[in-house]
Amino acid sequence: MISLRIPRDQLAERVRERFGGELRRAGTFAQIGMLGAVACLEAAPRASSLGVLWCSTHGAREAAEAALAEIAGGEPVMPFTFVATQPHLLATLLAQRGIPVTRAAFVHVAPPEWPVLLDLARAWLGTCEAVLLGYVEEGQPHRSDWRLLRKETTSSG
Amino acid sequence: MASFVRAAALQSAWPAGDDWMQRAEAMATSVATSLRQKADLPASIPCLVGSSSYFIGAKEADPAMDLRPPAEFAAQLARWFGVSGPVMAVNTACTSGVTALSLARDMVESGAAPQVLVLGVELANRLTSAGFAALGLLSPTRARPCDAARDGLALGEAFAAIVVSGSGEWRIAGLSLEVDPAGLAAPAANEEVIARAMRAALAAAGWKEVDLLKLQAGGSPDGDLAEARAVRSVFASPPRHLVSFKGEIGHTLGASGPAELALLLDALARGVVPPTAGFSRPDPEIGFEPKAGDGRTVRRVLFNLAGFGGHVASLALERK
Repeated sequence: MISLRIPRDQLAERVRERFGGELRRAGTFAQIGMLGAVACLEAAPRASSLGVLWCSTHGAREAAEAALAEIAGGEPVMPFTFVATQPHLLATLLAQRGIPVTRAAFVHVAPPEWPVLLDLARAWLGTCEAVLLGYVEEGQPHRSDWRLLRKETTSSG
Repeated sequence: MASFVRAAALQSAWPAGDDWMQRAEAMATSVATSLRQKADLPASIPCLVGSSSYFIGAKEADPAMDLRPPAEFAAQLARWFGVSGPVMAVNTACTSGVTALSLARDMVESGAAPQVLVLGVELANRLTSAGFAALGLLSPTRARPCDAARDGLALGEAFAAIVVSGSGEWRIAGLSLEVDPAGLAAPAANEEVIARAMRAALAAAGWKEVDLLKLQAGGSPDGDLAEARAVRSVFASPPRHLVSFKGEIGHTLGASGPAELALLLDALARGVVPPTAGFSRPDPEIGFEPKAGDGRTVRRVLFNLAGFGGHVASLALERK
Protein backbone atom coordinates (compact mmCIF):
# COMPACT_ATOMS: atom_id res chain seq x y z
CA MET A 1 0.00 0.00 0.00
CA ILE A 2 1.28 3.45 -0.94
CA SER A 3 0.02 6.72 0.49
CA LEU A 4 1.67 9.81 -0.98
CA ARG A 5 1.19 13.41 0.09
CA ILE A 6 2.78 15.71 -2.47
CA PRO A 7 3.18 19.42 -1.78
CA ARG A 8 1.88 21.32 -4.80
CA ASP A 9 5.16 23.08 -5.45
CA GLN A 10 7.04 19.76 -5.48
CA LEU A 11 4.90 17.87 -8.02
CA ALA A 12 6.95 18.66 -11.11
CA GLU A 13 10.23 17.84 -9.33
CA ARG A 14 8.86 14.55 -7.96
CA VAL A 15 7.66 13.56 -11.45
CA ARG A 16 11.05 14.35 -12.99
CA GLU A 17 12.81 12.37 -10.27
CA ARG A 18 10.69 9.28 -10.67
CA PHE A 19 10.23 9.23 -14.43
CA GLY A 20 13.45 10.84 -15.55
CA GLY A 21 11.64 13.75 -17.18
CA GLU A 22 8.19 15.14 -17.79
CA LEU A 23 5.28 12.82 -18.44
CA ARG A 24 4.27 13.90 -21.93
CA ARG A 25 0.59 14.80 -22.34
CA ALA A 26 -0.13 14.11 -18.67
CA GLY A 27 -2.11 16.75 -16.81
CA THR A 28 -1.73 17.43 -13.10
CA PHE A 29 -4.31 14.85 -12.05
CA ALA A 30 -2.68 12.09 -14.10
CA GLN A 31 0.77 13.00 -12.78
CA ILE A 32 -0.41 12.77 -9.16
CA GLY A 33 -2.00 9.39 -9.88
CA MET A 34 1.04 8.07 -11.75
CA LEU A 35 3.43 8.82 -8.88
CA GLY A 36 1.43 6.67 -6.48
CA ALA A 37 0.36 3.96 -8.92
CA VAL A 38 3.87 3.27 -10.21
CA ALA A 39 5.33 3.30 -6.69
CA CYS A 40 2.72 0.75 -5.61
CA LEU A 41 3.40 -1.48 -8.62
CA GLU A 42 7.16 -1.34 -8.12
CA ALA A 43 6.77 -2.60 -4.56
CA ALA A 44 5.16 -5.86 -5.69
CA PRO A 45 5.90 -8.71 -8.11
CA ARG A 46 4.79 -7.94 -11.66
CA ALA A 47 1.35 -9.23 -12.64
CA SER A 48 0.64 -10.62 -16.10
CA SER A 49 -2.74 -8.89 -16.21
CA LEU A 50 -3.64 -5.81 -14.23
CA GLY A 51 -6.95 -4.14 -13.55
CA VAL A 52 -6.81 -0.47 -12.60
CA LEU A 53 -9.76 0.92 -10.65
CA TRP A 54 -9.33 4.37 -9.19
CA CYS A 55 -11.51 7.09 -7.81
CA SER A 56 -11.65 10.71 -6.80
CA THR A 57 -14.13 13.17 -5.42
CA HIS A 58 -13.26 16.04 -7.74
CA GLY A 59 -11.10 14.44 -10.45
CA ALA A 60 -9.24 16.79 -12.77
CA ARG A 61 -11.12 19.84 -11.50
CA GLU A 62 -8.24 22.30 -11.78
CA ALA A 63 -7.78 21.49 -15.47
CA ALA A 64 -11.52 21.74 -16.10
CA GLU A 65 -11.63 25.16 -14.43
CA ALA A 66 -8.62 26.30 -16.46
CA ALA A 67 -10.32 25.18 -19.68
CA LEU A 68 -13.58 26.86 -18.69
CA ALA A 69 -11.65 30.07 -17.96
CA GLU A 70 -10.10 29.95 -21.44
CA ILE A 71 -13.55 29.59 -22.98
CA ALA A 72 -15.06 32.33 -20.81
CA GLY A 73 -12.23 34.60 -21.89
CA GLY A 74 -13.06 34.00 -25.53
CA GLU A 75 -9.91 31.97 -26.11
CA PRO A 76 -9.90 28.71 -28.08
CA VAL A 77 -9.21 25.71 -25.84
CA MET A 78 -5.70 24.45 -26.37
CA PRO A 79 -5.37 20.71 -27.07
CA PHE A 80 -3.26 20.04 -23.99
CA THR A 81 -5.68 21.95 -21.78
CA PHE A 82 -8.48 19.67 -22.96
CA VAL A 83 -6.38 16.51 -22.61
CA ALA A 84 -5.57 17.48 -19.02
CA THR A 85 -9.32 17.51 -18.19
CA GLN A 86 -9.55 13.76 -18.91
CA PRO A 87 -8.89 11.83 -15.68
CA HIS A 88 -9.12 8.39 -17.32
CA LEU A 89 -5.85 8.89 -19.20
CA LEU A 90 -3.92 7.59 -16.21
CA ALA A 91 -4.64 4.06 -17.44
CA THR A 92 -3.26 4.90 -20.87
CA LEU A 93 -0.11 6.32 -19.29
CA LEU A 94 0.37 3.11 -17.32
CA ALA A 95 -0.14 0.99 -20.46
CA GLN A 96 2.35 3.23 -22.27
CA ARG A 97 5.00 2.12 -19.75
CA GLY A 98 4.51 -1.52 -20.71
CA ILE A 99 2.27 -2.34 -17.77
CA PRO A 100 -0.28 -4.96 -18.92
CA VAL A 101 -3.50 -3.04 -18.19
CA THR A 102 -6.30 -5.41 -19.15
CA ARG A 103 -9.15 -3.50 -17.57
CA ALA A 104 -9.52 0.06 -16.32
CA ALA A 105 -12.21 2.26 -14.82
CA PHE A 106 -12.11 5.68 -13.24
CA VAL A 107 -15.02 6.63 -11.01
CA HIS A 108 -16.12 9.66 -9.05
CA VAL A 109 -17.56 8.45 -5.81
CA ALA A 110 -18.50 9.88 -2.42
CA PRO A 111 -16.63 8.37 0.57
CA PRO A 112 -19.64 6.37 1.85
CA GLU A 113 -19.52 4.32 -1.38
CA TRP A 114 -15.83 3.39 -1.16
CA PRO A 115 -16.59 -0.16 0.08
CA VAL A 116 -18.41 -0.77 -3.21
CA LEU A 117 -15.12 -0.15 -5.01
CA LEU A 118 -13.33 -2.72 -2.89
CA ASP A 119 -16.03 -5.25 -3.76
CA LEU A 120 -15.68 -4.42 -7.45
CA ALA A 121 -11.89 -4.77 -7.28
CA ARG A 122 -12.30 -8.20 -5.71
CA ALA A 123 -14.74 -9.16 -8.47
CA TRP A 124 -12.15 -8.12 -11.08
CA LEU A 125 -9.72 -10.65 -9.63
CA GLY A 126 -11.80 -13.25 -11.44
CA THR A 127 -10.21 -12.08 -14.69
CA CYS A 128 -7.18 -10.01 -13.62
CA GLU A 129 -4.17 -11.42 -11.77
CA ALA A 130 -3.93 -8.21 -9.75
CA VAL A 131 -6.01 -5.08 -9.31
CA LEU A 132 -4.62 -1.66 -8.51
CA LEU A 133 -7.14 0.28 -6.44
CA GLY A 134 -6.52 3.98 -6.01
CA TYR A 135 -7.75 7.27 -4.63
CA VAL A 136 -6.36 10.45 -6.19
CA GLU A 137 -7.17 14.03 -5.22
CA GLU A 138 -5.73 17.40 -6.15
CA GLY A 139 -5.17 19.65 -3.15
CA GLN A 140 -2.53 20.97 -0.77
CA PRO A 141 -0.92 18.57 -0.53
CA HIS A 142 -1.96 16.42 -3.48
CA ARG A 143 -3.00 12.92 -2.45
CA SER A 144 -2.27 9.62 -4.21
CA ASP A 145 -3.23 6.46 -2.29
CA TRP A 146 -2.93 3.04 -3.91
CA ARG A 147 -3.28 -0.55 -2.90
CA LEU A 148 -2.51 -3.64 -4.97
CA LEU A 149 -4.87 -6.57 -4.54
CA ARG A 150 -3.87 -10.04 -5.65
CA LYS A 151 -5.93 -13.18 -5.48
CA GLU A 152 -4.02 -14.52 -2.47
CA THR A 153 -4.34 -11.28 -0.46
CA THR A 154 -8.07 -10.64 -0.75
CA SER A 155 -9.05 -12.81 2.18
CA SER A 156 -7.01 -10.61 4.53
CA GLY A 157 -8.68 -7.46 3.16
CA MET B 1 -24.73 -16.05 -12.57
CA ALA B 2 -25.56 -14.46 -15.91
CA SER B 3 -26.49 -10.83 -16.46
CA PHE B 4 -28.90 -9.31 -18.94
CA VAL B 5 -29.90 -5.99 -20.40
CA ARG B 6 -33.47 -5.90 -19.19
CA ALA B 7 -34.71 -2.53 -20.41
CA ALA B 8 -33.43 0.57 -22.12
CA ALA B 9 -34.70 4.07 -22.83
CA LEU B 10 -33.27 7.12 -24.60
CA GLN B 11 -33.76 10.84 -25.17
CA SER B 12 -31.45 12.26 -27.81
CA ALA B 13 -33.41 15.26 -29.05
CA TRP B 14 -34.70 17.78 -26.56
CA PRO B 15 -35.54 21.45 -27.04
CA ALA B 16 -32.93 23.93 -25.94
CA GLY B 17 -33.70 25.74 -22.71
CA ASP B 18 -32.44 28.69 -20.74
CA ASP B 19 -31.97 26.84 -17.46
CA TRP B 20 -29.43 23.99 -17.68
CA MET B 21 -30.61 22.16 -14.57
CA GLN B 22 -34.29 22.40 -15.48
CA ARG B 23 -33.53 21.00 -18.93
CA ALA B 24 -31.48 18.14 -17.45
CA GLU B 25 -34.28 17.35 -15.02
CA ALA B 26 -36.86 17.35 -17.81
CA MET B 27 -34.77 14.90 -19.86
CA ALA B 28 -34.20 12.70 -16.82
CA THR B 29 -37.90 12.66 -15.97
CA SER B 30 -38.81 11.76 -19.54
CA VAL B 31 -36.31 8.88 -19.68
CA ALA B 32 -37.27 7.63 -16.22
CA THR B 33 -40.95 7.57 -17.22
CA SER B 34 -40.13 5.64 -20.37
CA LEU B 35 -37.91 3.19 -18.51
CA ARG B 36 -40.49 2.54 -15.77
CA GLN B 37 -42.92 1.41 -18.45
CA LYS B 38 -40.49 -1.42 -19.21
CA ALA B 39 -39.03 -2.33 -15.82
CA ASP B 40 -39.57 -1.79 -12.13
CA LEU B 41 -36.99 0.43 -10.45
CA PRO B 42 -36.80 -0.45 -6.77
CA ALA B 43 -35.76 2.46 -4.55
CA SER B 44 -32.60 0.64 -3.44
CA ILE B 45 -31.23 0.02 -6.95
CA PRO B 46 -27.60 1.18 -7.43
CA CYS B 47 -27.15 3.88 -10.06
CA LEU B 48 -23.98 4.11 -12.16
CA VAL B 49 -23.67 7.15 -14.42
CA GLY B 50 -21.39 7.22 -17.44
CA SER B 51 -20.51 10.75 -18.50
CA SER B 52 -17.50 12.85 -19.37
CA SER B 53 -18.98 16.29 -18.76
CA TYR B 54 -21.24 16.18 -15.65
CA PHE B 55 -21.95 19.73 -14.38
CA ILE B 56 -19.70 21.40 -16.99
CA GLY B 57 -22.70 22.76 -18.91
CA ALA B 58 -24.26 24.08 -15.71
CA LYS B 59 -21.03 25.85 -14.80
CA GLU B 60 -20.86 27.41 -18.27
CA ALA B 61 -24.43 28.63 -17.90
CA ASP B 62 -23.70 30.08 -14.47
CA PRO B 63 -19.99 30.94 -14.17
CA ALA B 64 -20.47 32.04 -10.57
CA MET B 65 -21.38 28.57 -9.40
CA ASP B 66 -18.77 26.19 -8.00
CA LEU B 67 -17.87 23.20 -10.14
CA ARG B 68 -19.55 20.57 -8.01
CA PRO B 69 -18.16 17.01 -7.66
CA PRO B 70 -19.32 14.64 -10.41
CA ALA B 71 -20.64 12.19 -7.81
CA GLU B 72 -23.14 14.90 -6.83
CA PHE B 73 -24.28 14.94 -10.47
CA ALA B 74 -24.84 11.19 -10.31
CA ALA B 75 -26.71 11.55 -7.02
CA GLN B 76 -28.91 14.28 -8.52
CA LEU B 77 -29.78 12.07 -11.48
CA ALA B 78 -30.59 9.20 -9.13
CA ARG B 79 -32.98 11.47 -7.21
CA TRP B 80 -34.70 12.47 -10.45
CA PHE B 81 -35.12 8.77 -11.17
CA GLY B 82 -36.57 8.27 -7.70
CA VAL B 83 -33.87 5.84 -6.56
CA SER B 84 -31.62 6.08 -3.51
CA GLY B 85 -29.12 3.19 -3.72
CA PRO B 86 -25.34 3.62 -4.07
CA VAL B 87 -24.29 6.02 -6.85
CA MET B 88 -21.09 6.33 -8.84
CA ALA B 89 -20.05 8.49 -11.77
CA VAL B 90 -17.87 6.64 -14.27
CA ASN B 91 -15.56 8.49 -16.65
CA THR B 92 -13.52 6.74 -19.31
CA ALA B 93 -14.42 9.36 -21.94
CA CYS B 94 -16.38 7.90 -24.87
CA THR B 95 -16.56 4.44 -23.28
CA SER B 96 -17.88 5.78 -19.94
CA GLY B 97 -21.36 4.34 -20.37
CA VAL B 98 -20.19 0.89 -21.36
CA THR B 99 -17.60 0.90 -18.57
CA ALA B 100 -20.49 1.68 -16.20
CA LEU B 101 -22.36 -1.22 -17.76
CA SER B 102 -19.37 -3.48 -17.11
CA LEU B 103 -19.36 -2.49 -13.42
CA ALA B 104 -23.11 -3.10 -13.27
CA ARG B 105 -22.51 -6.53 -14.72
CA ASP B 106 -19.89 -7.21 -12.01
CA MET B 107 -22.38 -6.18 -9.33
CA VAL B 108 -25.15 -8.41 -10.69
CA GLU B 109 -22.97 -11.43 -11.42
CA SER B 110 -21.23 -11.26 -8.02
CA GLY B 111 -24.59 -11.10 -6.27
CA ALA B 112 -23.91 -7.62 -4.85
CA ALA B 113 -27.11 -6.27 -6.42
CA PRO B 114 -30.05 -7.98 -8.16
CA GLN B 115 -30.21 -5.17 -10.69
CA VAL B 116 -28.39 -1.95 -11.47
CA LEU B 117 -29.48 1.23 -13.21
CA VAL B 118 -26.92 2.46 -15.75
CA LEU B 119 -27.25 5.99 -17.12
CA GLY B 120 -25.34 7.47 -20.02
CA VAL B 121 -25.60 11.25 -19.96
CA GLU B 122 -23.87 13.78 -22.14
CA LEU B 123 -25.41 17.22 -22.46
CA ALA B 124 -24.18 19.91 -24.83
CA ASN B 125 -21.39 22.09 -23.51
CA ARG B 126 -18.78 24.37 -25.03
CA LEU B 127 -15.78 22.79 -23.31
CA THR B 128 -16.25 19.40 -24.95
CA SER B 129 -17.02 20.91 -28.35
CA ALA B 130 -14.00 23.22 -28.12
CA GLY B 131 -11.77 20.37 -26.96
CA PHE B 132 -12.72 18.10 -29.87
CA ALA B 133 -12.35 21.04 -32.25
CA ALA B 134 -8.89 21.77 -30.85
CA LEU B 135 -7.89 18.19 -31.53
CA GLY B 136 -9.13 18.50 -35.13
CA LEU B 137 -11.63 15.68 -34.79
CA LEU B 138 -14.87 17.38 -35.90
CA SER B 139 -16.57 17.40 -39.29
CA PRO B 140 -17.52 20.84 -40.64
CA THR B 141 -20.82 19.38 -41.83
CA ARG B 142 -22.09 16.05 -40.48
CA ALA B 143 -21.01 12.54 -39.54
CA ARG B 144 -20.79 10.11 -42.47
CA PRO B 145 -19.93 6.71 -40.95
CA CYS B 146 -17.96 4.43 -43.32
CA ASP B 147 -18.60 6.82 -46.20
CA ALA B 148 -15.94 7.68 -48.77
CA ALA B 149 -16.49 11.39 -48.04
CA ARG B 150 -16.36 11.14 -44.26
CA ASP B 151 -14.46 14.00 -42.71
CA GLY B 152 -14.86 13.86 -38.96
CA LEU B 153 -17.15 13.43 -36.00
CA ALA B 154 -20.33 15.31 -35.16
CA LEU B 155 -21.03 15.56 -31.45
CA GLY B 156 -24.49 14.84 -30.09
CA GLU B 157 -26.20 14.84 -26.74
CA ALA B 158 -28.08 11.98 -25.14
CA PHE B 159 -29.69 10.86 -21.93
CA ALA B 160 -29.99 7.08 -21.89
CA ALA B 161 -30.90 4.53 -19.24
CA ILE B 162 -30.41 0.79 -19.05
CA VAL B 163 -31.32 -1.77 -16.43
CA VAL B 164 -28.81 -4.60 -15.99
CA SER B 165 -30.37 -7.53 -14.20
CA GLY B 166 -30.26 -11.27 -13.60
CA SER B 167 -32.98 -11.77 -16.20
CA GLY B 168 -34.06 -10.14 -19.42
CA GLU B 169 -34.19 -10.60 -23.17
CA TRP B 170 -30.56 -9.81 -23.98
CA ARG B 171 -27.82 -11.75 -22.20
CA ILE B 172 -24.42 -10.11 -21.78
CA ALA B 173 -22.40 -12.94 -23.27
CA GLY B 174 -19.02 -11.20 -23.35
CA LEU B 175 -17.52 -7.81 -22.67
CA SER B 176 -13.96 -6.68 -23.26
CA LEU B 177 -12.43 -3.34 -22.29
CA GLU B 178 -8.99 -2.62 -23.67
CA VAL B 179 -6.51 0.22 -23.27
CA ASP B 180 -4.33 1.23 -26.21
CA PRO B 181 -0.84 2.21 -24.98
CA ALA B 182 -0.53 4.61 -27.92
CA GLY B 183 -3.92 6.13 -27.24
CA LEU B 184 -2.62 9.45 -25.94
CA ALA B 185 -0.95 10.44 -29.17
CA ALA B 186 -3.11 8.78 -31.82
CA PRO B 187 -6.10 10.42 -33.54
CA ALA B 188 -7.94 7.10 -33.55
CA ALA B 189 -7.88 3.76 -31.78
CA ASN B 190 -5.36 1.22 -33.02
CA GLU B 191 -6.83 -1.50 -35.26
CA GLU B 192 -5.02 -4.26 -33.38
CA VAL B 193 -6.43 -3.09 -30.06
CA ILE B 194 -9.94 -2.94 -31.54
CA ALA B 195 -9.48 -6.43 -32.97
CA ARG B 196 -8.20 -7.70 -29.62
CA ALA B 197 -11.28 -6.32 -27.86
CA MET B 198 -13.60 -7.93 -30.43
CA ARG B 199 -11.83 -11.28 -30.23
CA ALA B 200 -11.93 -11.25 -26.44
CA ALA B 201 -15.66 -10.52 -26.38
CA LEU B 202 -16.31 -13.24 -28.98
CA ALA B 203 -14.15 -15.73 -27.07
CA ALA B 204 -15.98 -14.99 -23.81
CA ALA B 205 -19.25 -15.63 -25.63
CA GLY B 206 -17.88 -18.74 -27.35
CA TRP B 207 -18.74 -17.38 -30.81
CA LYS B 208 -16.93 -17.07 -34.11
CA GLU B 209 -19.67 -15.21 -35.99
CA VAL B 210 -22.39 -12.73 -35.17
CA ASP B 211 -25.61 -11.69 -36.90
CA LEU B 212 -25.07 -7.98 -36.41
CA LEU B 213 -22.14 -5.71 -35.69
CA LYS B 214 -22.85 -2.29 -34.22
CA LEU B 215 -19.87 -0.28 -35.38
CA GLN B 216 -18.16 2.48 -33.45
CA ALA B 217 -17.83 4.27 -36.82
CA GLY B 218 -18.42 7.95 -36.23
CA GLY B 219 -17.26 9.35 -39.55
CA SER B 220 -13.63 9.79 -38.55
CA PRO B 221 -11.30 9.21 -41.52
CA ASP B 222 -8.74 7.30 -39.42
CA GLY B 223 -11.06 5.82 -36.81
CA ASP B 224 -13.53 4.23 -39.22
CA LEU B 225 -10.69 2.79 -41.27
CA ALA B 226 -8.94 1.31 -38.21
CA GLU B 227 -12.20 -0.32 -37.11
CA ALA B 228 -12.85 -1.64 -40.63
CA ARG B 229 -9.42 -3.26 -40.72
CA ALA B 230 -10.09 -4.79 -37.32
CA VAL B 231 -13.45 -6.15 -38.51
CA ARG B 232 -11.84 -7.68 -41.59
CA SER B 233 -9.14 -9.31 -39.48
CA VAL B 234 -11.61 -10.79 -36.99
CA PHE B 235 -14.27 -12.08 -39.38
CA ALA B 236 -13.71 -14.14 -42.52
CA SER B 237 -16.54 -12.12 -44.06
CA PRO B 238 -18.37 -9.14 -42.53
CA PRO B 239 -21.50 -9.93 -40.48
CA ARG B 240 -24.75 -9.87 -42.46
CA HIS B 241 -25.89 -6.69 -40.70
CA LEU B 242 -23.70 -3.70 -39.89
CA VAL B 243 -24.93 -0.43 -38.46
CA SER B 244 -23.62 2.79 -36.97
CA PHE B 245 -25.83 5.28 -35.12
CA LYS B 246 -23.48 8.24 -35.06
CA GLY B 247 -24.89 9.68 -38.29
CA GLU B 248 -28.29 9.71 -36.60
CA ILE B 249 -27.62 11.05 -33.08
CA GLY B 250 -24.00 12.15 -33.38
CA HIS B 251 -21.19 10.96 -31.17
CA THR B 252 -22.70 11.20 -27.72
CA LEU B 253 -19.34 10.48 -26.02
CA GLY B 254 -19.77 9.07 -22.53
CA ALA B 255 -23.43 8.39 -23.22
CA SER B 256 -22.81 6.58 -26.50
CA GLY B 257 -22.81 3.06 -25.04
CA PRO B 258 -26.22 3.20 -23.33
CA ALA B 259 -27.64 5.54 -26.01
CA GLU B 260 -26.68 3.38 -28.98
CA LEU B 261 -27.65 0.22 -27.11
CA ALA B 262 -31.09 1.68 -26.44
CA LEU B 263 -31.47 2.60 -30.13
CA LEU B 264 -30.32 -0.83 -31.27
CA LEU B 265 -32.49 -2.86 -28.91
CA ASP B 266 -35.52 -0.72 -29.73
CA ALA B 267 -34.97 -1.27 -33.45
CA LEU B 268 -34.52 -5.01 -33.02
CA ALA B 269 -37.65 -5.16 -30.85
CA ARG B 270 -39.46 -3.64 -33.82
CA GLY B 271 -37.90 -6.26 -36.10
CA VAL B 272 -35.61 -3.99 -38.06
CA VAL B 273 -31.93 -3.29 -38.51
CA PRO B 274 -32.00 0.41 -39.40
CA PRO B 275 -29.96 1.99 -42.19
CA THR B 276 -26.89 4.00 -41.23
CA ALA B 277 -27.69 7.70 -41.51
CA GLY B 278 -25.00 9.71 -43.24
CA PHE B 279 -23.69 6.82 -45.31
CA SER B 280 -24.19 7.02 -49.07
CA ARG B 281 -20.97 6.21 -50.92
CA PRO B 282 -18.86 3.11 -50.14
CA ASP B 283 -15.17 3.53 -49.43
CA PRO B 284 -13.01 0.84 -51.09
CA GLU B 285 -10.52 1.13 -48.24
CA ILE B 286 -13.22 0.31 -45.70
CA GLY B 287 -14.06 -2.78 -47.75
CA PHE B 288 -17.66 -3.19 -46.62
CA GLU B 289 -20.71 -1.02 -46.13
CA PRO B 290 -23.45 -0.76 -43.52
CA LYS B 291 -26.26 -3.22 -44.12
CA ALA B 292 -29.81 -2.71 -42.87
CA GLY B 293 -32.56 -5.30 -43.08
CA ASP B 294 -34.79 -7.68 -41.20
CA GLY B 295 -33.90 -7.65 -37.52
CA ARG B 296 -36.25 -10.43 -36.45
CA THR B 297 -33.67 -13.17 -36.89
CA VAL B 298 -30.83 -11.26 -35.20
CA ARG B 299 -29.76 -13.21 -32.12
CA ARG B 300 -26.05 -12.52 -31.72
CA VAL B 301 -24.79 -8.96 -31.63
CA LEU B 302 -21.34 -7.49 -31.25
CA PHE B 303 -21.28 -3.86 -30.13
CA ASN B 304 -18.10 -1.80 -30.56
CA LEU B 305 -17.06 1.46 -28.95
CA ALA B 306 -13.76 3.31 -29.01
CA GLY B 307 -12.88 6.46 -27.21
CA PHE B 308 -10.50 9.31 -26.71
CA GLY B 309 -7.30 8.23 -25.03
CA GLY B 310 -7.31 4.68 -26.35
CA HIS B 311 -10.09 3.07 -24.34
CA VAL B 312 -11.84 0.45 -26.51
CA ALA B 313 -14.85 -1.74 -25.71
CA SER B 314 -16.57 -4.66 -27.38
CA LEU B 315 -19.78 -6.13 -26.00
CA ALA B 316 -21.38 -9.43 -27.06
CA LEU B 317 -25.14 -9.69 -26.57
CA GLU B 318 -27.35 -12.72 -27.21
CA ARG B 319 -31.13 -12.67 -27.56
CA LYS B 320 -32.80 -15.39 -25.52
